[in-house]
Amino acid sequence: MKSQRTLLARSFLVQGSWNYRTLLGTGMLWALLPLLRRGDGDETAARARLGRNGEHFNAHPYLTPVALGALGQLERAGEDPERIRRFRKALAGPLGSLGDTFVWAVWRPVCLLVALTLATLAIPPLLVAVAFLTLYNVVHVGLRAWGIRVGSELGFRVSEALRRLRLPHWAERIGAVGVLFLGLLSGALTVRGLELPGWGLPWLLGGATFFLVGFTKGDLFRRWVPALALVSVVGGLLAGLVWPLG
Amino acid sequence: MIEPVTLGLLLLLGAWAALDTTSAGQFMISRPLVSGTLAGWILGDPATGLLAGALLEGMDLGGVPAGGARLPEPGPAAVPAVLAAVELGGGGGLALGLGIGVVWSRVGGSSMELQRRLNGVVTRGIEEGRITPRGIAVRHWSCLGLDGCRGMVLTALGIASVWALPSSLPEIWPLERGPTAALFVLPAAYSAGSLLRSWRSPLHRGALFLAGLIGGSFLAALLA
Repeated sequence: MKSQRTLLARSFLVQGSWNYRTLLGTGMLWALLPLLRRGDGDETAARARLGRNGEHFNAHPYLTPVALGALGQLERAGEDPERIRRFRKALAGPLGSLGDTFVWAVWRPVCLLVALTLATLAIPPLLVAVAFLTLYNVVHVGLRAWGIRVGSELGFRVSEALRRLRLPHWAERIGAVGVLFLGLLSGALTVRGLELPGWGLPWLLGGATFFLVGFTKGDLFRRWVPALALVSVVGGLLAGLVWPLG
Repeated sequence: MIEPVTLGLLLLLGAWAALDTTSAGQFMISRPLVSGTLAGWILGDPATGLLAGALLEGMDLGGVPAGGARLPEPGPAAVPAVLAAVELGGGGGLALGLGIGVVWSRVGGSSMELQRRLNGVVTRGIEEGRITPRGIAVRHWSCLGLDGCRGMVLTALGIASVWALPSSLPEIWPLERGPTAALFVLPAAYSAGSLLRSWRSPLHRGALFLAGLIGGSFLAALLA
């Protein structure tokens, strides 16, 4: 239990030395250090153990605990090093794609949409931030804790637990909630925008146009979004110079 | 000019947001919605903090940081953005704050790339098993420390850029705060449309969006 708690705590810093050569590799090794210090006197084996656990590794950070738990258990059990290495390589891909599909593509934007909707409905600012952090991190911390537990218990068989978790299924369900909140946010913003004297209708038309272009073109023009904001700032200042207020 | 304690808190917040982006925790303190609100709270105006943070958030909605993708870093950038919005005030302050926020997000993204390259140098040799456990721990913590320093320097430079703005600049801005905020909702609307598209097969997408649209309009009218 103590080793699981240590791994969980260290999993929060596993990306601390993220680099383009080993990606998460060195962070994984650092997190596993307390479990790798076996002290059996075999210097060559100890170096090999450190080396293979610091090799290139990439996964979603919230699912990395699955790998940490499993690798820690297998190393302590003294499993065949080559088998551990192959397992480590095989695990990285699924942990990355499952996490990206569920957390980055769905869970985080849905939580943000909930928070933005609350903000538009004039909920007090600090409450909006706290509500977002609480909602988001219940799943975040829960995933990490679950990952350490199933990794430590199942070792080579963690893929069974990952299948049972059905993250793609939940991504689809929670994505549907996200669509609902995107609608709620759009509705609330529409009412707030129409309250602007003289600006309401043109703003609504502009917003609908941008939304539709985003919907039809997807990420095609995404990198121009910040540029558009900057052009708005510069254009507004120039307009203010040409037609000063008052 | 702000109090030294306030400045110190803003710098710490910037460092925390930078660390939270990748290196430590990823609790989403690094989202501009959160870091912006906290910066506003430190400056005594959480409502403006939330407004600026939410607008920066809207522009970044749906960005996926998968596989070390090169993305902007809006968390620490929200701190100088909110400082500008609060200190300069009005529509001009908000517009200039958002402009600074957008530019500083890009600068932050580039600095993150440099940080990752530096981490590669600091941790060289670890995967060959040449480094002792103590050496590994020292190198890992050094990378974390460097990332925190990066966030603090980034925030400090952002704050300096706010102070460097000519004092007459916000007065040139032709819009009040409400229409200014509305203007910056437009690029966010693109991101929102793009996000909806990315959810390819949620159940009954059109019906859910319509139900939300009606419900949101009703709620906003009710709470107006």
